[in-house]
Amino acid sequence: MSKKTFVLLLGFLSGLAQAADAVSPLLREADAFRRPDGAVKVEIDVEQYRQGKLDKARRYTVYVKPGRRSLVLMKSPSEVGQKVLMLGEQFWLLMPESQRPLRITANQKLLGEASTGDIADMTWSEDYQGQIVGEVDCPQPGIEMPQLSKPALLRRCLHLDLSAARPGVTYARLDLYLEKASRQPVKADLFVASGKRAKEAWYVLEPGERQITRMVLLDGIQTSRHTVVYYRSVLPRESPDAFFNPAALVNNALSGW
Amino acid sequence: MLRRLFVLMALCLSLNGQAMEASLSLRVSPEFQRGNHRSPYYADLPDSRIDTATSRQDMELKLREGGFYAHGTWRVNLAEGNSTESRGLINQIFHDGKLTGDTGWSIGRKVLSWGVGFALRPLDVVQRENRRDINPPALVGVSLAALEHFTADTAWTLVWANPGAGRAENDHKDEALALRGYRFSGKDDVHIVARISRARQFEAGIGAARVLNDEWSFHGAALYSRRYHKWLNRLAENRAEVFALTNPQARVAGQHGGKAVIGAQWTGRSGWSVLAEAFYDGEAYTRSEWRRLNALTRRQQAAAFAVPAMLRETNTAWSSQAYLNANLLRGNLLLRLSHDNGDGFTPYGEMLLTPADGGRVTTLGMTHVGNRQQFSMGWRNMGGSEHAVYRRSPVRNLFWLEWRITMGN
Repeated sequence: MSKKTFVLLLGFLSGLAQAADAVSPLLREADAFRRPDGAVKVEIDVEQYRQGKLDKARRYTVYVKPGRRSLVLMKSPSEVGQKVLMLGEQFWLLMPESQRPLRITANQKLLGEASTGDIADMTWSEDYQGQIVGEVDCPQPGIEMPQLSKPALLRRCLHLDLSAARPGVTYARLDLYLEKASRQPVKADLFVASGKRAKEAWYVLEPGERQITRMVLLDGIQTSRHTVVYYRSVLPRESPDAFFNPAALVNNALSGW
Repeated sequence: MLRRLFVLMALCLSLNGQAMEASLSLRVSPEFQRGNHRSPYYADLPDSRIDTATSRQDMELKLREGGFYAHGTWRVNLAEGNSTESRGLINQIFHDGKLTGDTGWSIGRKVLSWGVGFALRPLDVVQRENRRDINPPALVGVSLAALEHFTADTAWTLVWANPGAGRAENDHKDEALALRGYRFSGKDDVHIVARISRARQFEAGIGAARVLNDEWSFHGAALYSRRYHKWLNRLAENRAEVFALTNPQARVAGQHGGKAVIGAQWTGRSGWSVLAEAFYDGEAYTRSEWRRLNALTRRQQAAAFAVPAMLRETNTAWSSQAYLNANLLRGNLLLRLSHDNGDGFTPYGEMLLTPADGGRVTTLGMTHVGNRQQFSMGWRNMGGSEHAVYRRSPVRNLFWLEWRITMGN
């Protein structure tokens, strides 16, 4: 390898590292729109639509703690008592019929109507790495729906190409658009490991709010379906560590905490 | 007594006016059973027909507030040719509380399932759930007092099950002291259990589950029992008589029993999932016990001309009680294929094999979960090679349906 080639290669690698370094603070700023730092309790309503008509409604309470710890409690009548615990890349499921915590794989976590990952994964900075592709006009939704207000025209966005930084994350790759001025998330294309675009996520912020109030997920595979995730409340809440022990899932005391 | 307590606590909580979670559900579960008329265990009794349709209707109320939880059922059973039966039962009623930050307690009737496994859970020494039942009703918990201690990655549970009940024939009602230890570390879960009771003396077991990657997981568990019991037909065992006038099923103790399971599961992003599990149930009949029971039924058939038909059929029905066991032979292999379409629809097919005699149980089913309603249906067939225990089952086919609607806050 000639000295010149070596210097060029070094420069290229250094550029890549700088691009990656540039992404981390951006993702942290974007995460702040999804949830505040520290431990939080999030109340979530999910509406699933088919052909534009409401098909199913679900309710969840999610406890999130730093260190990639999340506990999802299912609250809607047909799912009540189900719990999913996520500790980094490890997952457990509790079904109310058996009252036995069951260790599940990342793929099993994705099964079911609403991916638990869509609900509980609320930080990009811990899960993804990547680079800034460029600066573009902020994307506009291609369809009209009442839950999806169109972002203001003439805004500029940063286009980020992100890939999973660790195993077990819900999506293998993201194309994320952040408003350049505020770092507010606008849109993400969510890709599974096969490279197929599974969903298109739009993040809606009501005027005057600092927190995303809803996320609209357009199904990339079954295009007649879409899901609206409403973040009803996002409150700082220091939940006890004991909640995050798989054996404690059967403990009733954590319900309603 | 428990029912009164349940009603009283529900009333207190409703008057309390705090944020109580409540749900009411109705389950209608018709089942159709078709007999195997060529089975030597097929009994033609007017009050205990095998070819029959039944339906179980369960109205279930669940209440939860803080550490309190109650689950009660009002059940109405309909059976073709029989009168309607109804009864109420308390599935669970317990309170979980805290002694310190990492130590808690539970008291009441509670479902407490332990260990790993799909078709058999050897470490499930408190609840002892029958995992091969089709369309089972909600579990009924065990009366217990328990202490639990948690750290960041371990949990210990000490259970006094059925306090004051003493020795009982039914494991679910047997007084026992049980200890469970659990530890998770990275991709591994490790479980240990120990249980002492007068009926089973001492049991101890260990199990583990490992997630290999996004798709694969493995599990295994084994349990040793100092003593266990099974119901055997004394006519088959001692060969002294051919017919009995009272039920000849006798509870027989065995020493040094064991159960074990080992399995692997693959789940793809597409929603397809495959499970393979081999399990050994040391409390199931041995092949020689089946041979002796088969020999008895042959002797009974040979002597049938000399006795009233009712006596012959009744003896056949008593022998057929061997088919009530969860596992009919000790060595079993389960293969299961299922698919989750991501919209609440889950079809599945499974096959249980008994390699020792070429027996086979095929089950096909599906579940659909809607907004408030759930629907499931299935079919199970017993078959295999000509002399297989499952092939000789008095029941050849089972069909079931279930519709459930849930209301609540």
